[in-house]
Amino acid sequence: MNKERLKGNLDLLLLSVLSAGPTHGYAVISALRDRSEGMFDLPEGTIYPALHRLENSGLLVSSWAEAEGRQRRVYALTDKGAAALAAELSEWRSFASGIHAVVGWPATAMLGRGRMALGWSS
Amino acid sequence: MSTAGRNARDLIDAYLAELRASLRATPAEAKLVAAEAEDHLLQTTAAGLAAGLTRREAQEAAISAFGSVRAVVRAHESTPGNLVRGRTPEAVLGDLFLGSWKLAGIGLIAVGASGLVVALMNVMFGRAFTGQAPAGVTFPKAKCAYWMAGWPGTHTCAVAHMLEASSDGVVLRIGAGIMGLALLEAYAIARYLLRRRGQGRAVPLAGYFPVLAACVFGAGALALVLAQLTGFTVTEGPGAYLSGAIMAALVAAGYGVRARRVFRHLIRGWARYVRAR
Repeated sequence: MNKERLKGNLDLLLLSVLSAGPTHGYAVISALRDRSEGMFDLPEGTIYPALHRLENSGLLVSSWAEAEGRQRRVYALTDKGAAALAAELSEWRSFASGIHAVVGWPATAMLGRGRMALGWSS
Repeated sequence: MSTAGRNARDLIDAYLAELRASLRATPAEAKLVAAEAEDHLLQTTAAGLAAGLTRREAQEAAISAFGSVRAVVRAHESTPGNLVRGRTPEAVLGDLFLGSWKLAGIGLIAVGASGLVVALMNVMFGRAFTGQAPAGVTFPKAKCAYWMAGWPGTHTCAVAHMLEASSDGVVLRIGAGIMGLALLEAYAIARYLLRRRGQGRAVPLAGYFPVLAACVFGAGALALVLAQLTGFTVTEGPGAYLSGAIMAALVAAGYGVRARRVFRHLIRGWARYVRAR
């Protein structure tokens, strides 16, 4: 998948994963990779700055806890983050619905099948 | 560096040491970033071991998935921090002071570079292009006498002023550029001394410096173009303001490219704020 497109939607994805409850960075990144079946596979170390940025914007809050004998940073969604998630989800659904209405239009699909049958697929 | 002779634990330790050394952050910030990275790498290693990898293979895979130190550092540096939250007033003021200092140094260097553009314009288009006052502009007699004394052989104030202005546009601006270089050198020394005192290599203005520079130089370029177009305060040829506008626009464009992620972040934050209202 185009990395820039993924980065453009990273905030929505991270907020969405954290809406299930507070968790640490490793679990957030694993959930991103597992739920997308490997499609969202950015270098893991580059996700942390995005979490820090969301925390600086007041959408997340973090705390340090002791786990397995070392320090672990746990992130949680704030009320502002939950509101931002709801707004971004709504916007994303409208956008996806608009895209689907265009590319899923029957004539478009038929045209695509016709092009393929003639060997014009690009 | 070859890792052939290292044991597995050394791989992660070496990675974390390189990460800590490469991050432009205060020691306290770098420690937190490294602690989080260490926790992540050890969890990934444990998952690799559980999947049947050897310890060494699991650690290599964990580091590979985490990303190169360069990529991780770049991601941290292109992520703006918070200018105020979690910082003392002294740290915020110090940051603003250092940011302004750096901006002034770069501004003076841009002025110096615009002097070279004036020199080029003088050669390509003639001195009138950079030095000649627009029609209708008059000068005090004392100034005319001063310029004509400085340029023997000139018979009119307009010509003496043109030669003086086209020459000053090169010499004085290059002088300003040299002062800018000295200012930036002093800035680098100040940053080095702060680092030695354990106050870190914090990114200027928490990562917002490129945004500030792009806005300041962009506004400067626009102001110079508008001043030239409207004739406001223009007492020299069009090349005088145009050379400054060219350099300011180039610096603004350079910082604009560097600041594109921060701009995106700011626009997204603003859109969120608008939606929330």
